[in-house]
Amino acid sequence: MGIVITGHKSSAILDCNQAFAEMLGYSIEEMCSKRSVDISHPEDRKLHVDDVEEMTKGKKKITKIEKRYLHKDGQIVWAEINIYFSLNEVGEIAYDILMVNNITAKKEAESNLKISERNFDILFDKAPFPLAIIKGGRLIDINGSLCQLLNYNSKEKLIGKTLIDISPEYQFCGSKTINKIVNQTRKITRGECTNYEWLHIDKNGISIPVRTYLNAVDIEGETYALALWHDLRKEKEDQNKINDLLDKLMLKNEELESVVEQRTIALEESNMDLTRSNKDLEQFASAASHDLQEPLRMVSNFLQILERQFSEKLGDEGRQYIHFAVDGANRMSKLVESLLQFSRLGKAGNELRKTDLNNIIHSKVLDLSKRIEEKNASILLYELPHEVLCEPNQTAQLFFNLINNGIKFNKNENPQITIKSEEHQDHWLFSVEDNGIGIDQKYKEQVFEVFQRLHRKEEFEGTGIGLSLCKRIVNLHKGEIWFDSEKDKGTTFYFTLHKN
Amino acid sequence: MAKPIEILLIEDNEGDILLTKKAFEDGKIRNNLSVCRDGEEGLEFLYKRGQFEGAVTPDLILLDLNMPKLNGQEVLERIKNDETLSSIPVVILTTSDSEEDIMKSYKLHANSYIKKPVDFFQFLEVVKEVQNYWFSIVRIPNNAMVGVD
Repeated sequence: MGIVITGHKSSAILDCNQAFAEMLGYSIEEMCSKRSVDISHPEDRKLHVDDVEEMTKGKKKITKIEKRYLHKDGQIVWAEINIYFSLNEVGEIAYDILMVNNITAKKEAESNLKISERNFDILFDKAPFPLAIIKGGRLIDINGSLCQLLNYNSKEKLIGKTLIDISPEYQFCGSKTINKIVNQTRKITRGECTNYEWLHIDKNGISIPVRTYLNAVDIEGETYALALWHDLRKEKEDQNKINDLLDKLMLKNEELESVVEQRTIALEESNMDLTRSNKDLEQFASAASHDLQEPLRMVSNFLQILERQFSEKLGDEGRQYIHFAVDGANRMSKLVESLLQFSRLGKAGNELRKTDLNNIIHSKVLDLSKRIEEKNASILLYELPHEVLCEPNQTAQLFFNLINNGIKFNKNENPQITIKSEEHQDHWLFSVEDNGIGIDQKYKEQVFEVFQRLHRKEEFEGTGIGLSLCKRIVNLHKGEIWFDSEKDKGTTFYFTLHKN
Repeated sequence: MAKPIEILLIEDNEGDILLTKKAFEDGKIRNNLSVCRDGEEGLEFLYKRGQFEGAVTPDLILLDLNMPKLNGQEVLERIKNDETLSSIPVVILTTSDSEEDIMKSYKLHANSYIKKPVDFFQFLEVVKEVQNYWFSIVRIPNNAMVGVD
């Protein structure tokens, strides 16, 4: 213990022991040259004086104060001081005797505790999630967030309520389960952590879905539950929204399915109609072609007999008329024949089979040999695939028409036709290239139409059905046909055939 | 002079009958052309029944496919299924050269097949070819001749 003697009025330090001097980092000699105020904390200088004044007025015999000194190095030293007066012979106060205990360590511990308590209070109270300490199902302490959650404006109104008080009778999973849950909360033992999803009611009686996390703790031999709440309103709302959306989606889906079903039925019906009308059309075209040929033959044949038997009577003019009439009938007959050919393409029974295209082409080139010779043409034939799934007669016709066109629409001295194929992942690409007169790109759709001709009959004869036949054949194979062309340079027709 | 060749034309179209007659008149081979105007009548003729009692067995039958009552195919079927008639060569006349028609005819064992041409001179050529083919090149089974002898 430090002991220091100061003058009563001057507060000059008259003497002190080694303990006191060391407490503040001075030597006794140094100490004895100072006044009490010199070594006191600026805020505590008056404190001593006041106390001493009170004592001198006789109110107190002895007084005990706590004050701060300043260590030589500037640090605060907390001291507990008992002050006595030493009286002289006439009974006046001669000196103040101070018995000084260093309580800095104790003060720091106290201060730390205060900070810790304050921190805990802040943490507990200001935590952004509802918290409570529960004992026997009753709220012992709660924080602001829980008040907010349950819509109370002061803690006091909520503290003391039981879990049953803040929960509705009817919970998610049917009636009367509230007691069950509360009982469970009572049963949890130390170290156990559990959670429940249930409903609370706020001050206004509105249900609030929450999840409560409970952790049992022992405080001074008693078991408490620490509770934390998770507000489920947003989640439930979202879940409801999702459910609503799902419901709507399901509904839309059902609507869609029903629409699709109706469409499918309609489509099947119109498909059937289409098949029927296609068949009707084929039959019509076939019958028309047969029946149209008959009168045509009569016209031309008898005109020719007329010409033969009455040639002289007819004269040149008459014979010319007959010539035109017969020529017209002949052309019409060819048209009818092509129409018949066209209508026959769609008929059932034309089955796809694996076909060696090289064989087909060779036979078609042979069919054309007379024409090839006449026009001094040459055919450059690259090796074609040996197994292509197609209808052989139609495919032969397709190649025939394209090669034939290449030779026919050609004013070159040496018409040249090049036939190539190219393998792709799911189809074959074929090309028939010529060095003929070319086709203007603006006719790229028209050329494939039935009876579409781009030239006068005097220029290039034909019925105008060849390319439409090609297109029909390719389409029946679910392929595509198109061309690239440059005037006077030539045309390349491309078409595809599927592998499967 | 050689015996004229007996030809039976089964055809309903008067125009075609006349044309065929004209064409055969033009031919170099002497012939008698008998005409039946539908399938039933054709079979009556071949079986020499009713009004055709005493008719000759033809050396060649020209048969149109499209006819009322019994059509050409049915007539052909009957002829080819009858032992006494099956050896008479039958040439089918048709307006179309559709494969369907051709296949049908050959399935029924037609001996030949002619598309009726639009051009008369072409028709003359065809008839000439038929004559040459059937009476000059091909040996006709004898029983048809025997019947005549």
